[in-house]
Amino acid sequence: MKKHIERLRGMHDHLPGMYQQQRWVIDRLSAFLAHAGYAPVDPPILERSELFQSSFGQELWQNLYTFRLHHRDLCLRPEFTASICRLYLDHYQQHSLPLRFQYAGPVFRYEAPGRGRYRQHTQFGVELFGGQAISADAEILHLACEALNELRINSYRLELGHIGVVSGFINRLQLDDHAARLLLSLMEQISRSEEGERLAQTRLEVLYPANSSAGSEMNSNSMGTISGGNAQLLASLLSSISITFGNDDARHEVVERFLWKMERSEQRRRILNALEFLRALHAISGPPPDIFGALRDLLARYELDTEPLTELEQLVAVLNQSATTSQQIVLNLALGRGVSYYTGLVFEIHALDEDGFDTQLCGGGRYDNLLRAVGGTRDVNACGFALGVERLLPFIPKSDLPKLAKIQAIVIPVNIQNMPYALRVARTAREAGLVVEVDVTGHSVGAGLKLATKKETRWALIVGEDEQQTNRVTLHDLVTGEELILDIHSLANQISAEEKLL
Amino acid sequence: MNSTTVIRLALPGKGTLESATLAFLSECGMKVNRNNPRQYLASVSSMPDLEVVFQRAADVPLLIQDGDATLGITGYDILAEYRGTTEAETEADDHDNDIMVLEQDLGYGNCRLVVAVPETWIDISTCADLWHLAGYYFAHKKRGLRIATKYPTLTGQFLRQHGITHCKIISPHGALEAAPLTETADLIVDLTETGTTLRENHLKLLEDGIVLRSQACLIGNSRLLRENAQALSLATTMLELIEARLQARNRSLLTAHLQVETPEEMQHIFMNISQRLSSLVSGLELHAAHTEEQNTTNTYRYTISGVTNVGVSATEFLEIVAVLRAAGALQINITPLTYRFANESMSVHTLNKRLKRKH
Repeated sequence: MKKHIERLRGMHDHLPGMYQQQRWVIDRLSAFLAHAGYAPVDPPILERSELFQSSFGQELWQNLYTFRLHHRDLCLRPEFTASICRLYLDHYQQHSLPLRFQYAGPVFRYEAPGRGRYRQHTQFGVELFGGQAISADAEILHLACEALNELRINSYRLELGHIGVVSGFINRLQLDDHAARLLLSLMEQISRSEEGERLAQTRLEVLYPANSSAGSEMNSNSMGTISGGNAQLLASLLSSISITFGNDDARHEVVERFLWKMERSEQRRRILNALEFLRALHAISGPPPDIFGALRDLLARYELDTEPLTELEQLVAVLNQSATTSQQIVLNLALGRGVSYYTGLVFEIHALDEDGFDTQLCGGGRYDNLLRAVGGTRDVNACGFALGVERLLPFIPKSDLPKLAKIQAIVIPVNIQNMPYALRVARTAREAGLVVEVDVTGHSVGAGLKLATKKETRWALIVGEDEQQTNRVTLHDLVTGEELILDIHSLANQISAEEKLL
Repeated sequence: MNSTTVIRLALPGKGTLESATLAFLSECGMKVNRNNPRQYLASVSSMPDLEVVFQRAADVPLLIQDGDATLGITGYDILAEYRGTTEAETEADDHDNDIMVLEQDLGYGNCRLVVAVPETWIDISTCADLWHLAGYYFAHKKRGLRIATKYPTLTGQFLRQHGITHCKIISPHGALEAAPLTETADLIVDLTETGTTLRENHLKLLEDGIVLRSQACLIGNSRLLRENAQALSLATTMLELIEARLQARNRSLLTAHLQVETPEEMQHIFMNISQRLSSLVSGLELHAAHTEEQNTTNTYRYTISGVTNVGVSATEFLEIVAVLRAAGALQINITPLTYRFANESMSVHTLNKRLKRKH
């Protein structure tokens, strides 16, 4: 007994209707962005895992479709941006900037399938390398909104953020890279939900535990005091004293690490400080321009650079030039995005579907360090956005979406000897722009007519021995039942004239 | 379906699990007849429809998944790595998976999959410390931690759960304990029973570094069990016997005979014994039954019985015996329990429920 081989979960077959609609969306977007100078490129779906691991800044990434072939770690792309950066490094390093690319194709993420979340989905996006950051950001943001307007998707919400504010704050805390990265990833969690905020807090408590905190926090200014926590650490040092180290380097490293660990309670204070700041930042979000005042106050209170705010103000002004109103914009400086490579502007475009569920349609931002992370020798300014094609479809007005082309005529050969002539008739009719199918069932003319009626085809072109001799066809109108004998060349005219009458 | 097909049971044919599995099945009344240890096929005389195949424990999950065997016994660690999850019931995620766990803990083959680091790492005692160390390595050595393990999937999951993403997992074929010494890896994730081998190789466990606790487990192909009534009936029989045996393990049946003048006196003695024994052993439920009619000497004979979970050690029994003697028991019998059947087998009940749910 042969087992039925099932389709993989979270993967979908695109059937003709859906396929055509997606194709239409991609063609539409592609043409629109080509007009803005974005050249289409198509990198391979399969890349070395390293590419995405280094772009995400980690070696273990849970949602990747990775596998090993001939001792090589390979990965189905989870997104395009890293691939396009690699493509730039491979082919365009000698070209002058700015450079503009657009792409469309499938991406793969191994995550729990759900509403609007597929393991394979289609992304359309653009990347802009080089240029002045503020100008390039303005273009990208403008195009992201205009791309949606092009598809007549109007009721969306644009969330605008800027990594610069939080990274400025974190830099001032002089945390190590690892801790800084952790905070940025937690920012994402905090801005998503209250649940996420609790999880972030718990995670920090685990990583930076308060070892007998009451004592150590109070004493944190008087350096050198051996607090309860440090004493505990020293105890573990003493109990391990019988250990033999391989060499002096190893001993030195462990001592250095140990001392570094002792500073952790001081780091805890700074980390908790940062968490508090992230919460305050998240609490102030809303539409411009009013929100700018509150944000300025907050940044002033923390004595932070307000440059990112100025940039955001300029961007809002740009957006007001296009169809995006201030009410559609939400400023959220705690916006983090899922991947860690963003350095400046970040944005997301959301919309509510007919059941009131929030769907993210678009995401993007600036990632000035990514090219170096994937192997470039210098930093190149870069920004871009990507749209989820499957997610766009439900928001496009139904009447705009193309319908499947109907078969206008079916050619029915009387018997197999008439097949060559039938194919010739079909070709002539197609050249005249008609959608024509040939009846290949090999049944009788009567059965062919039944088939045509079932398919709701208007015309049947019957070709037998007589027609073949005289270069004619019998045109059968399946609506009226009338029959006409026509010259093969006047066929197309006749049909289109009749179709117009309908 | 042909009603006389042979149902296959795959057993580990090598290593420590082999002898323990054969001993366990024999205890459950399913003694495997294997003429010589080099043979790969064997039978169980009490179950003529069953064919036993011996395979490496690591290959048993694949055999079940492919339907080449309907039932199998392997280490839970091996199964978890094969399926890529530490959870027993995972039907929800991947419906390609036909393996189901019928009994997760068969009570032998205990081991733990643990994170072990060099004992010189005095700064590392928890997974949180390891997270910090991954950052330290990345900043100072420009590389992530290297972790040697034969369980790359479970290890990757465990590390991700702890947010440790700057690391590389390698899977050498040889002994893992040597990896940190030879500097081919920084730490290891390996199986251990007692931790002795790790300590001997100058490694230490993390406080919260247990990836998985494992025992031998009974697994089956859910599709075959659903489609083949004969297979299901065999699985049911096995589960009944295994559960009854597991319930009987480390339990003894205690009986004592007493002779008293009046039923009231018996009541008093019984209360007294119950109270004193309950402080000695937990989970002992005593019953008293009147066994003989009043005889010529004007006395009543009673039997007290109960199942204890006291171990096999005779010294522990002596305390109980002393209590019973003091109460006037004439004869005290203690026998190890062989099987203990409840009014319904929980495992069988759960199996039927899960088979229904899957379709």
